Amino acid sequence: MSAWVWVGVAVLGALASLARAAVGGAIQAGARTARPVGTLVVNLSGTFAAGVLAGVVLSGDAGVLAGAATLGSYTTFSTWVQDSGRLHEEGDDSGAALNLAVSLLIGVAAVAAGHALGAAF
Amino acid sequence: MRGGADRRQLAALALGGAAGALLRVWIAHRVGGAGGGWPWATFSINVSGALLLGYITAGPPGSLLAISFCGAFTTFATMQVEILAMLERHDYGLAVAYGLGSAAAGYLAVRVTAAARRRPVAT
Repeated sequence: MSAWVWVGVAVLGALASLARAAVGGAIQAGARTARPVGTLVVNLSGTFAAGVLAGVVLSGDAGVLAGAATLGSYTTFSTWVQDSGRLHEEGDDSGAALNLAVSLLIGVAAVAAGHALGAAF
Repeated sequence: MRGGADRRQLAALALGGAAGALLRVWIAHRVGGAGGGWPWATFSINVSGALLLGYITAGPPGSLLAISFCGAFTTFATMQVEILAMLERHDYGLAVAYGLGSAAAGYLAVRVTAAARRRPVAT
């Protein structure tokens, strides 16, 4: 990959991280629950978009920039599992398990739906 | 004061995100695709990022830069795209093992490092 692609990865990774903080923070602030709906919305929306990209078969530099750099950074695995760790520490074990299961299962549905949409184009 | 702090926070979020994205894309680029097998690159990235985040959040309010690094370094979307590819190949066993294995390993990772930081054992 050319140097400019790596610059693009850095810039898009930064912007995607700001977007994750903004979207996740706004959703969580509007939700009256300690359960991590902000992370859930971020991950599911980013996963749906990644499915669309996979469906339209975007490859090469464009695929790296839109997929791995942008959506890879926008969505997060560490915060997802850490949210469950926090719920467990707060005594909400069902919330901890639910967070893992719901994200995983609806994530599969989201990526499949995005893929079907992308492939239809 | 408030404006300065906000700007510093945004800069920390952006810098951590850029670093996390660069390292993840570089590792994936070096390792290459999973080629129908277990996606070791994504799996290792996700579990190591979870280990780090568990450690950071178990202590006093951690560095926003480091937290943002973990957020961008690890990825949920790529994992799901990999699971979808397994399902499309009718490799259901691998898809279930990878999905559940990632969630379980990531959850254990944050629990283990958080516990290790809070209860340092004498050696």
